[in-house]
This record gives sequence, C-alpha cells and structure tokens, in this order.
Amino acid sequence: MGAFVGRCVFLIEFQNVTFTYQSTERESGVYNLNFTIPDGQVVLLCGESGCGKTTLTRLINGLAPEYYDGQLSGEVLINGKNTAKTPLYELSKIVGSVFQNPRSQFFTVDTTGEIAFGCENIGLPKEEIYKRIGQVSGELKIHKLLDRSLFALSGGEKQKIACASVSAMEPEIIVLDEPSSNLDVATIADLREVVAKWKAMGKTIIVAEHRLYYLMGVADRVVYLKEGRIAKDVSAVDFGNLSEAQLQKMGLRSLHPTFTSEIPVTPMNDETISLTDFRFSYGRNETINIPQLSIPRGAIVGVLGDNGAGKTTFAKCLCGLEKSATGVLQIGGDNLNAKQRIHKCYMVMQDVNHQLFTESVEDEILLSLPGEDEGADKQQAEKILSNLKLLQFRNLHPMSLSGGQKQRVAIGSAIASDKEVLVFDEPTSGLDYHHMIEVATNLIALSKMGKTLFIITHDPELIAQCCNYFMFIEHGKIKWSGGWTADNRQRLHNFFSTI
Amino acid sequence: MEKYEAYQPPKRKGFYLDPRTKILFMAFVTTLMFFVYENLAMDAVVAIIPLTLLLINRQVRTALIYGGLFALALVAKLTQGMYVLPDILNMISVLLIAMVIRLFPIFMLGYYIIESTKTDEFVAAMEKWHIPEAFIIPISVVFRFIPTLGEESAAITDAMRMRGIQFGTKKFWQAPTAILEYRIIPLMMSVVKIGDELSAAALTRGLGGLKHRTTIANIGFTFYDAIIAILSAALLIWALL
Repeated sequence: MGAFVGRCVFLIEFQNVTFTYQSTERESGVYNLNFTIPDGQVVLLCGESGCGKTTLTRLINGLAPEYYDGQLSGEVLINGKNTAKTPLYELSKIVGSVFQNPRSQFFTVDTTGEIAFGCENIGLPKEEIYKRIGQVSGELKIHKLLDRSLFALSGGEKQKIACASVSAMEPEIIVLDEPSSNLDVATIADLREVVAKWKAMGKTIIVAEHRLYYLMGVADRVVYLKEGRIAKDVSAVDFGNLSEAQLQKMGLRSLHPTFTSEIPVTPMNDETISLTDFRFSYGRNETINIPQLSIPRGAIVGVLGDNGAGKTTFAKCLCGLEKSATGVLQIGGDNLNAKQRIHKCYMVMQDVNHQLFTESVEDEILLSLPGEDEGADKQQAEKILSNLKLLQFRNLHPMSLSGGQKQRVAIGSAIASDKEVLVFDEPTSGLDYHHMIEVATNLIALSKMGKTLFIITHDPELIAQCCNYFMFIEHGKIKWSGGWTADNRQRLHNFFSTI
Repeated sequence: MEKYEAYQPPKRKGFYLDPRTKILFMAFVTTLMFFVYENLAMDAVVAIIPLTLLLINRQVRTALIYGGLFALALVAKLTQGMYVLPDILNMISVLLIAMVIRLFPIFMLGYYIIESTKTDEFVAAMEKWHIPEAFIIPISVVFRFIPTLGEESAAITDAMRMRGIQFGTKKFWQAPTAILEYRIIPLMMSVVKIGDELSAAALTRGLGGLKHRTTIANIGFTFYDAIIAILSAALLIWALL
C-alpha cells in the first residue's frame, strides 16, 4: 500500500490551481482554485455545463493531467502528496471514481469480475478479494446482482456495480462525476443511499452534479463554479436556503421540484390520435400491452415509469422499429401499422451521436428532404435551420457541435422528413437549467407546428416546463394517462417524491 | 461497521472447458482443416464438434442455422455429380459449399469461444502461459467490445431506418457508397468515445500499475478438457492414417 497506509487525515488541498486542456476537447479549464476539503466531508460541485466541475474531479483523481493532457500550474495535494507527480495506479488506491455513463466504465463483462477488477489490479490475493466482494455487496445490497452479465443489467444496476467496484478498493476519497445522469427516480434514491453509506463510513466524497435535489441532506458543503472559478462556497444548509429564482439565475436545477406551481398549459387540439391493440413481447421480461389509448394531437406527452417498465420498448414500437409489434396508430384519418409508422414517427435518441450521419449540418437536413428539387430543398433547409438557430453552424461537422446543438440537428432532420410523431428519449439528461429550458422551448415550438411529442423523461422540471399530457407505464401497461388534472398532479408528485 | 460474509463463487455445474483448451483446440481444428481435404467423413465429425459446443452453451439459434447450412452443403456436395450447372453458378456453388464445410466449423468454434469465455478467465489463462500483459489487455478489451459493438450497431441501424437510409431506396441509388459511410462513421465515433472513457475508468481503478495482477477467476483442467484432448488425438491419428 506504500505511503498511504493507515487512517490518517485525508485532506485535499488546491493551491493556486489553474488547468487548461491542450486538446480541442469540449471541456473547460479551471482557474486559480484555492480551497481545502477536510477528511470525511461530502462536497457537492455544481454549476452550468462547461463550468469546469468535471475538470475539478479529474484533478483529484489524477486523470488530469496524466490522461487528459493540459497545462497545470499550482498544486493539488492529497495528504500532502502532489497528485500530478503520483502515478495513477498509486492514486487509485486512495481515490475512487464513479463516472457518468454506466456503459463505458466496465472493463469486464460480468458483475463479480467487475467488482474484483480494481482489487486484481492492485494485486490483492484472491481470498481477500472474495472477502471484499462479500463486504461491499452486503453494504450496497447487491447480492442479487452478483454473477450476472453486465449487459443484461439496467442503467441503475450498472451504476451500483460501478459504485461497488470502487468501494471494493476501499479508497478514502471518492469522486463522482454526474453519477445520476442516466438513472431513473428509483435508482437515484439508491444512489443517494450509497453516498450516505460512504459518508457514514467516513469517506471524503466529491460529487459533480446537475441534479441537486437527491443530495440535499447528504452533502455538507456546496461549491458553485462559474467559468472555471469558484463563485460560491457555502455550507449545504445555506445553499438549501437559496430561492428557486436565485438557483435559476445561477443556472442550477431545483432543489425541490414541484408540480404545485402554476404550470402554463399549452393549448391543445380537439383532434386525437389513438393507439389500438399495441402488443409486443421481447425476450422474457419486457412486454407492451396497450389495448387502447387516445392522445390529443399536438400534445407533449410525458412518458413516465421506472426503468424496465417498457418505456423504451413502447417508443420503439411506436416508431415502427419493432417489426413484429402489432397495433395500429390512428392519426389524421390514417391507420398506420408498424411498417408504415417508421415513415411518420421519429425518435431523437438519448445518444444523439447515433443519428447524425453526414459531414455538415446542412447536409444532415438535406438528407431528409425529398431530393427532387435542389433549389427548393436548400431553401427549406435554410428555413428549418434558422428556426432552430442553427444557421451559423450550417457548414460545420455535426460531431463538432455541443450536445444541445446536436439534438437540434436531429430535431431538424425529423422536421425535414415531415414526421408527425416525435419521440424524445431523455432529452435533458445531464443538462443544466438554461439548457433544459432551451429544450423545453424547442419542444413547445414543435408542438405548435402540430407535431405530437412523446417525451421519455425522469426530469420533473422538464415535465413542469412543457408536458401537457401524461402516460404512466408499469409492466408494459398504461397505469394512468391524462392531462394536468388535480389527480394526476398528485400522482406525479408521488412518483417523483420517492427520494 | 457491519461485517458481511465473504463472497462464495458459484459451484460450476456441468460442461466447462478451460480457456487454454479452447484456444489450443481452435488452433488444432484450424490446422486440421487446412491440411486435410477430400475427407467428407472427417469434415462431418469436425462440424459436429462446434455444433455440440454451441448447443451446450445454449446458442440454439446459431446452432440450428449452422447445422442447417451444413446439412444443405453436404447434400449439395454429395449430389454434385448428378446434375450440370452453368459454369458461373457451378463455381459459386463449389465455393459456397467449400466455405460452409471447411471454414464455418472454424468460425463457429470461434464464436462459441467468444460467447462462452469470460474476460477474467481468458486473462487468467493467458497469465498462466506467461504471455505479457501488453498483449493480454488489448485482447481482453476486444472481448469487452464485441457486445458493445453489437449494441451500438443496433442503435445506428434503428436511426438509419428512421431516416429512410436503407438499401434500395431512391436516396440509396443516388449515392450507393454513402450508406457504408453512414454506418461506419457514427459507429467509429461511439467506439472511440466509449474506448476513451473506458481507458480513463480503468486507469482510475489501478490498471497498468503492477507487473502481475492477481485474479479471482477459477480456471483449471477438468474431465471435459480430457475429452477434448482425446478427441483431438483421435482426429490427428485419423488424419495421419
């Protein structure tokens, strides 16, 4: 274990730290950081996208500057030891890291092997690793997940395994970089429990997050970053006293999302679209069974439910991506089966990179236009781009854009191909307040164009901003649906207040 | 702090092959198929082995498809003299038959090995052979990436279908090569991104620090490995006779 044996005080010190990235990566640097984190403190790092909070976590776990090249001045000290001069594998024994995307932090393909992976790397004997796997699976209550394929787990379960894997190395410091981005309401509650457990064990925890509400009551201190500098460094209690308006001004998400406030209900048509006899079975567990459902045409429908309830499967059926799905979508006098729906429906995926194919933003739109009259197409593309505020990027490569801009390009291609129904899979995961509002504005604009939107989301604030109809899926069936009635308001409140 | 009991790995039930056996057997079958030809009986025996392994590993669908193809190829081969095909068709059919009979057993064996071997077992086996870590880690990453590639590729297929980018559409005929580009570029983008994040995650968990990692994988030769050894010996003798 080298120099870090024993349970001494694991103080993290930032002394005049400035770090800027060398590459053109879309991450921002941090400037003139001076602060200390004492042993056992839970620190919440927050701020708008690109404020440098991810960079700060990388300075603690040593990935910057060893893995992410850049210019570092000043010193980051852990227990008096300079992290920049400590090799990553030494640092890995004292700093554990949990990342945003559960998909890309696995090295093995099975759960037990994954928990053992870090311990194997630091050369622990087999018996000790078995002991630690037993210990962490007891602590994090994951006995049921052991000895399974990682590819068969849900996002929340994967994130738990990631936490267990870090825990098994018994680090004194744990940094989490937006760990809740891909989680649903129930698993966010589990994540909170894990963080609380670590806190009780006396670990020092640093969480960079956009979602703030689940950490209230666990965090001791909140550090707010703006443009790479610390703009606010307060106790969690003081932070909790900030008003919603103040938080919004800072670009932060709500601490207590509610549905009681006055929600502007977007006007709706009398015309409805209806789903009849939607059935689909997939593997053994996920099934869709919707005998009949009517939705106002042009509505913004929040598709709610726990992970694994069948929301994504429903979306794929609706978009005609599951060829063997039965059922008819009736829209404007047309009855569309699965095969026909693919021409009328479009899904904006969570990982929008999957659906951008061409070399420029403009080509991306042109690809979806009919292609018969080039001049008319160009004009049409220009109109679409300007509506989505993308005109200045028309010649850029879609992959060089930010996440929000990419999403707008995907929306643009859907508008160009004249789709009636648009499905959004978690459009605001990992977005700060301003970007979330931007997405909501885009959704409302689409609805005004007459498109019917289905939004799969776990984001109560997005729902409050733009949804005007709901469908709640449980075990592949519709448990309830409807607009902003008092009953539904209460149901929403109950669903999101499991934390 | 509460104490919990140590983890007990599940008892291995039924058929199990040591990764080393699988690799050696793969090398053996490949060599055998390379040197032995015009021995249909042996081809059939060699085809039955991966077929059995696939079935044991519950890859029933693959096994059925492969079994069917093999049976067809066998019938075609046996009836070859009975009819005369036009030259070009004959050439194609001879090629296809040879491929199914002689190459597919190797592909299928490879597929079985990839599906049935856990990364840590593979790494443990390689370490027993004292293969350098610099060689083992990239290969284990490939293992890790195969299912991911499948997932990513499926998502891209969906995205392409929704955009109407498919074989045979009007757009397709305007630029037939573009379809390949549309498929490869997003796939490469996401693989690069996942690979980058994966490396970062692995580094924070101490990969690359020690010369000799430990492992919790239980590997070792069993009765089933002996069967494969005997089978290989028998095939070798048959081939030499």
